[in-house]
Amino acid sequence: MTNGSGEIAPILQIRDLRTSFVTSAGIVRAVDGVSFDVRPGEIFGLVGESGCGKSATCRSIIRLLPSHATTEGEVLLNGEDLLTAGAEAMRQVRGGEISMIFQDPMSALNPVLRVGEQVAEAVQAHRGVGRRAAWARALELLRLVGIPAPERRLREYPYQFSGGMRQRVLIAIALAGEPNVLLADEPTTALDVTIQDQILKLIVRLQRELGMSVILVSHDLAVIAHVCQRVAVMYAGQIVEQGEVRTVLRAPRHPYTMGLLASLPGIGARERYLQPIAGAPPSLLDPPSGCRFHPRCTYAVEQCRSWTPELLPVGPGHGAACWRQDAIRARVETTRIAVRETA
Amino acid sequence: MRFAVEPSEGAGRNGVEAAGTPLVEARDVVKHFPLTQGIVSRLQRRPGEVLKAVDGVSLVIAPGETVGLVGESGCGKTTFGRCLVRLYEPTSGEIRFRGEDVLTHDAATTRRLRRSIQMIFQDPYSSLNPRKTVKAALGEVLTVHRLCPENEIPARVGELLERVGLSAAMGDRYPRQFSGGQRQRIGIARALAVDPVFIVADEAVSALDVSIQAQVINLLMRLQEEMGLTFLFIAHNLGVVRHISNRVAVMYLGKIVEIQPASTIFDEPLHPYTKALVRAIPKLDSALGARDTVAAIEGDPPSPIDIPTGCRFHPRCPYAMPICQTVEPPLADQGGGQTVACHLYPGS
Repeated sequence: MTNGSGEIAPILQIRDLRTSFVTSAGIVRAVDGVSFDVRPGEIFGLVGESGCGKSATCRSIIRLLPSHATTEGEVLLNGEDLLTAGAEAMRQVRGGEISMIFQDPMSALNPVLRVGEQVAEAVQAHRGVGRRAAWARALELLRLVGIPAPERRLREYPYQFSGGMRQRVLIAIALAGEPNVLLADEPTTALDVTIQDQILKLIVRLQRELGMSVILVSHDLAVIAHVCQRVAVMYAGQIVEQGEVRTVLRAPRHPYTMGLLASLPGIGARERYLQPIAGAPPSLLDPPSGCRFHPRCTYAVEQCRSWTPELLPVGPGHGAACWRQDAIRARVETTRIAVRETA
Repeated sequence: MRFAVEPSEGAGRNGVEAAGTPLVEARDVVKHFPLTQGIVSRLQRRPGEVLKAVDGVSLVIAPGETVGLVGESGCGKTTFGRCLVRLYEPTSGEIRFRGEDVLTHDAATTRRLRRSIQMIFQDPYSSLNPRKTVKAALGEVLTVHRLCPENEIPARVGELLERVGLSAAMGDRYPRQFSGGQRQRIGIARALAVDPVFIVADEAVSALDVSIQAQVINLLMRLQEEMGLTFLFIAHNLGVVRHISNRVAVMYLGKIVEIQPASTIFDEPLHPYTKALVRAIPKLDSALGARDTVAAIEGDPPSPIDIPTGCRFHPRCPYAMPICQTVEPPLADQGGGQTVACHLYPGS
């Protein structure tokens, strides 16, 4: 799959996605003009703080939104727009072409059905096979996701599974339709670190073995850094920076990304006090004018109140939605010199 | 530089025993929860099952010190914290505060101790009354403990709010009108209202986004410096614990398996469980360099109802030896402030 320029054609293209929710308090623009591409066989990270629109972006892609939500823009899967697809076509896409796993593995499973039946049901829904064949496939899937003693475990109920094992079951269900894209919405947030480590390694292994593309949503920059190749940083419903994980996290070019990294204990912070971003994220009912980050930004000037650029190219495959690049570069350079002098 | 509050009375950083006069001393604290039995097993007179949440924890905390308590969910860290503030009555063991018995039944002493020992909870929303203004909630604390005359309460509440970085005018609002970070500040103000000496912070910043989390961590550290507070900081986020603590204790299935200075534990973990825990944290710096290829720890933690014999970690431990299945290793001092409960090290 290549296009004219020799680049690999993306499997999923999100174009100017806008999702809003009508609430009693007004219209919440949860996703406001988000565009990105996902390439075949890559793990793409969406990172940001709560309410930044990363989950809403994911749910918009497979149209898993409540009825008071409206979505505009384009979600092109191999060139076909999912936002205009019919209900039946979407049913085939969900779980077939694109699957999703969620943060809370308990509430996503039916507590009164044996785990095997729930996995087999997903197999039957997408592969049109008989009960016996579906059960056999369910066994294979449990083995694939690393559940010990799968024959016995198939006959057990969700309450008999630990959090990590439940997440494995959900991944097995998500894989039942052999999707090309897996949407993983904070899949390890509810899990302990040692279990989180196991699940992340599983996702990476499956992605390699099955050649899927994965969109990994997380609030944790370190998780993203471990697993993803490329990342988009979201703030108040928009992407503020995007690029290769290493570049974005090592040499961030948007003040919000820079602030997030400085807030992390144990990273930039060998100092006594951390350097938090002042203030709090804005309400999406009434976001600030111009650049949405300007009220909290140390680089902000008058112009930022009224105007903000699209992602500006700041390096190969690296974009940042901030036109104060000269000021940012200058400050990064001074700190670098200062660090070198003290070292 | 690490957390630089020099503990006032030459506080110790060495293992279980803090040098100088300890502020808090917990000895062999045990908290077991008997589980409710079904009718059938009761008729059959089967012995009741017991969840051993905390199974013999000793910890000494020096004045002005911050001790981090880490471990995975269900390891008993919260239960232990609640025993210290006496929200739970320990099944057995001893807790002393400035040498005084915390578990006393003398009402006047209890009231006095409750003022000195406070707790900050994880979820500031569910720990605040939604129908009370912040002013009323904080004022109530002052009234209950008879800390200041009725007419001085508004001024004192305003002062408390300003101390945690809010404005006095915000006192007229209800909890729902605040963001998560602001609510946690209110939770901190409530703990500070009684002029405590020792604060148990149970996952106090875990529910907050990183940019807000950093604000609250800074606030806690500043308050400690200004007011000379002592903290037990319970958390599962090891990065946060490393930043804020002087010493770190690691819990596994109801027991402390290792205590070390925060400055060394993440670089030189001794116990195989601590090693696995440290290795499992996704680290930004290492992820951007070489990828960690060391095998992950296998399996899930066992149930605290049915604790393995010998060392509780042996079924998951890559270094397990025959002795680990039968003999439970005690915490042993390894010098340099490092204490570990593992048969791989001398003294255990």
